[in-house]
Amino acid sequence: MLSEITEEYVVSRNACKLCTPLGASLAFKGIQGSIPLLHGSQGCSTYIRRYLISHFKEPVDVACSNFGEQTAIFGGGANLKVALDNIRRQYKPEFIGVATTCLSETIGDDVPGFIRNYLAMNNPDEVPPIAHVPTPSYRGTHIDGFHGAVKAVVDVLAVNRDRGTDQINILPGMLSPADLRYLKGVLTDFGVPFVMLPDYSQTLDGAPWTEYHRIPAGGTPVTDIARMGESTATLELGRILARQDSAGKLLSQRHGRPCHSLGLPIGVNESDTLFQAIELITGKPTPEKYAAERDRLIDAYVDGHKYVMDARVVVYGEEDLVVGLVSFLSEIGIIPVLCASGGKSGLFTETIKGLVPDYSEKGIQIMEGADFTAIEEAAQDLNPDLIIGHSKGYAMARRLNVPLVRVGFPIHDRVGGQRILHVGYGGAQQLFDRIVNTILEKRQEASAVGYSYM
Amino acid sequence: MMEEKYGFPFIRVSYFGIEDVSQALYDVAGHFADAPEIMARTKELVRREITQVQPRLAAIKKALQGKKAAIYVGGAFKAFSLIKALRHIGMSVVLAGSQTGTQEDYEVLRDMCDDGCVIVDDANPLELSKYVIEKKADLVIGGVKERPIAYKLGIGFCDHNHERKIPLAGYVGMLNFAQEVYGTVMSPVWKLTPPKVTSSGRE
Ligand code: SF4
Repeated sequence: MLSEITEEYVVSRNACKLCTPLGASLAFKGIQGSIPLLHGSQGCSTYIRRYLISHFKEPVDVACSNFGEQTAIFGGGANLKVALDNIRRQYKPEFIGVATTCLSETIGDDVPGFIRNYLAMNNPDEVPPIAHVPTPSYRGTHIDGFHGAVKAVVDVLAVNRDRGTDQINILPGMLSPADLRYLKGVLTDFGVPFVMLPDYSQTLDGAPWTEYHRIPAGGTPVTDIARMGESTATLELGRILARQDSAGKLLSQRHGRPCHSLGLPIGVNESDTLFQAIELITGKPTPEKYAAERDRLIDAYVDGHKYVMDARVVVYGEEDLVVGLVSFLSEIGIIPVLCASGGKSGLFTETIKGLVPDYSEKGIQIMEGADFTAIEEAAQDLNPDLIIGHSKGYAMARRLNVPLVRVGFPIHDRVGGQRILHVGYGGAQQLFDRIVNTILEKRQEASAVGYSYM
Repeated sequence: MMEEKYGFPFIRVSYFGIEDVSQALYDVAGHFADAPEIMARTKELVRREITQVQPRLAAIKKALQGKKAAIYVGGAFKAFSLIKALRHIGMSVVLAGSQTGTQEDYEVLRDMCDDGCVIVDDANPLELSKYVIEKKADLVIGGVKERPIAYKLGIGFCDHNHERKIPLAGYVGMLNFAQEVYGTVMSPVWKLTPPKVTSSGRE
């Protein structure tokens, strides 16, 4: 019997992160005619499908190479071949994105080798392009799987080297379909041609069907991705991503065009930075519509500023999302007393400190690589007014009796997760209204008087 | 009236601001000259209450030091208390006015205010906004109808009338008041509002 528990081993309780191939599958869903294929056993793809379907409320197919006991011992080369054959026959895809799982990574399957063999054994004109991203879940989180998949796609597909277009690339990161639509609207209104990768704004937030579709409509066309190397510049969003290896940097290295790494455009300041960057690249002014939207947002900030000033908020989620939210919360006077993420980039604490230089004076705690048990323990002592994060923090919010404002992914206990707008002036407006109203509601309900004005 | 009709003794006090509420308590205790223990207990009470709110008030005063307020309220008597309370948290008054003040009220106001303070009587929004901008006020105190005007001009606001949800009277009320003023004057949203146009150009 074990008599001693070694201190180094600390089990993770209620992880505040998701599995790495989930992020990769999500990114692959943003390519036209694409099927994500998990190289591993079926449970992984089932879990990932369940997570995506519950959030997006859309059909989500994720194929699987179906590891069994024998595959786990003898390797999964044969399974991958069968899986690719089956997918091509059943879905007729324009693109296949292969992500690995814990099991295939642990046994050390040579997936790039398998794919090379497969391409050599088949007529290259008949096989759709295949990208592969290694995604063991014991390394990184879903966000690493997401960015890794985007990079793998660019690596395989962005092959054209022609020049002379004024098109730009935008790599938005893991945002909601509403966010993706907003960003596309901005670039369209600027009148600049662009390629957004990935774009699941339609594949994961689509219209009713009149007949069954194997693969939902929408997504970035493979032919557009092929032309990403021709673009004059790339915009990639995420301050953490900015300091990591990424698709944007790969494009810049290969094609010698600048990559502008900006923060997620949440709130006025980070949105201003995005609009300024687009002005700089295109030489065009920000369309009047967005200037007016910005003015209305600031007017709304003023109208509501007293209700949120010095409010204490716990915020958690993907590192870049939390960083973006902290920038927004700071500009409206909210104190993010606890900033937490399950992410492990090693850049989180430093990035938050850079955004809130007086973090220690304000008593701000920053936790990276955190699970919900640790977050809840810390939150208990901080007496928060509000919690901001995805659905998986609900149990904590309930126990602490603090309202939860839902953002990010996954939103499994509400409708509309795919329609939450976080980015741009429009996104800040929605977040601001929801946050202020949640605080007002809490105050109103706590009051003995049933007042009905502010 | 009650004094006239029933012979109840009457004194005029204000329960707003540390100074005034303490004075009010002393005045009431002083009325019972034949019971000195009341005064002793009152002193003890005042001491206890002030010790409770003082640390936070001091921190707020430090942050608000040198900020400027414009007061535009119904009655002048309220304005007197507000001026004292604002001074207590480090702010000066650059505009004071009321809708119903008498000649004597304005005399008192003039004496209380710093030099250069504008005194207005029953002003319209145009006049008010002109002075508020010229005097670079950081805060307007007025009725709820003045709120959107202050906000449009990028200035903090605190309402001071019967519609309030959070009480401003007494010691805790003073702390509420200070916190509310701090919350509106020090909000970072003013960093985002456009610069105001004064007669000498943009700020
Ligand atoms: S085994 Fe690994 S890849 Fe599969 S679901 Fe679990 S964490 Fe994800």
